[in-house]
Amino acid sequence: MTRGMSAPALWLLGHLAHRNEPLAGDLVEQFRGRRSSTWLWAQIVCAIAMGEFRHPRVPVALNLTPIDPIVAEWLISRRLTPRRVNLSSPGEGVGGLGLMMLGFLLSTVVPDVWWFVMGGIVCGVALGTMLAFRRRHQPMATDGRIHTGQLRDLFV
Amino acid sequence: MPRHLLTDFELMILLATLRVGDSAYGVPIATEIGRTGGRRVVVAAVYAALDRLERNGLVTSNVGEPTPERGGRAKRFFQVTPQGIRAVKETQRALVALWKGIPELKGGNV
Repeated sequence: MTRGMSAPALWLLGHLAHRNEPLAGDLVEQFRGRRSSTWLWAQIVCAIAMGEFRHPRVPVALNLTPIDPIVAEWLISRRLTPRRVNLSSPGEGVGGLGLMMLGFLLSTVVPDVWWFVMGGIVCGVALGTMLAFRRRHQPMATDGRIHTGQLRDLFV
Repeated sequence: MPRHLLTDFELMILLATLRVGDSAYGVPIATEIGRTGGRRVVVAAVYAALDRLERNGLVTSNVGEPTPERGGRAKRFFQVTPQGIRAVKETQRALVALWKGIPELKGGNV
């Protein structure tokens, strides 16, 4: 990759920088020092995938591509504050693209791992069913809601 | 206080931060890990680990002045806390204890 390819990378970095200024500054400093465009692109893509340029007011699933900062700014300019979605990703800070890539990699490299995923889902459903049955024998609060204490009792 | 054993990457980050000293920010820490530890790391991974360590109270950080060579962006300097040093020592003790008494690991290079 030629050094000319660095212009879009720097443009993207400039748009993402306000979310993590120290990291953006480090990448610029290194690139201006001796690093190649390939290195810069790799660092930016890794940083986005790891959620280091994540916008706290945008759903995790949208934190994935160069359109993300544009979407974020648009949402903020419209005074829309979407609720942040926790996708319970396996790695800290892994966004929607990270999850999709993980799913793709698992499917191609070790497809058998999906049996474990299915097993986890089945176990989760079984546990939920068991807890629901146990809850039927627990006294409910007078307002009909489940309170923290009752939930805690289910696990004791 | 519960023991805090570090992952290998967290241990490398803390050791590199201690080696770099007062001017420890993302780039020198990553460079130190590569130069001394022989492991190439992504700068974002260093920050992700440092954020986690800061949440656990093992490092603290403060933001420096913006500089032109960084596009006017400030550095974030990290320092290892006494709790972080304790965690490094505990991890070292645990690893050394595991190391001892293994015949395959005695002697010269394999």
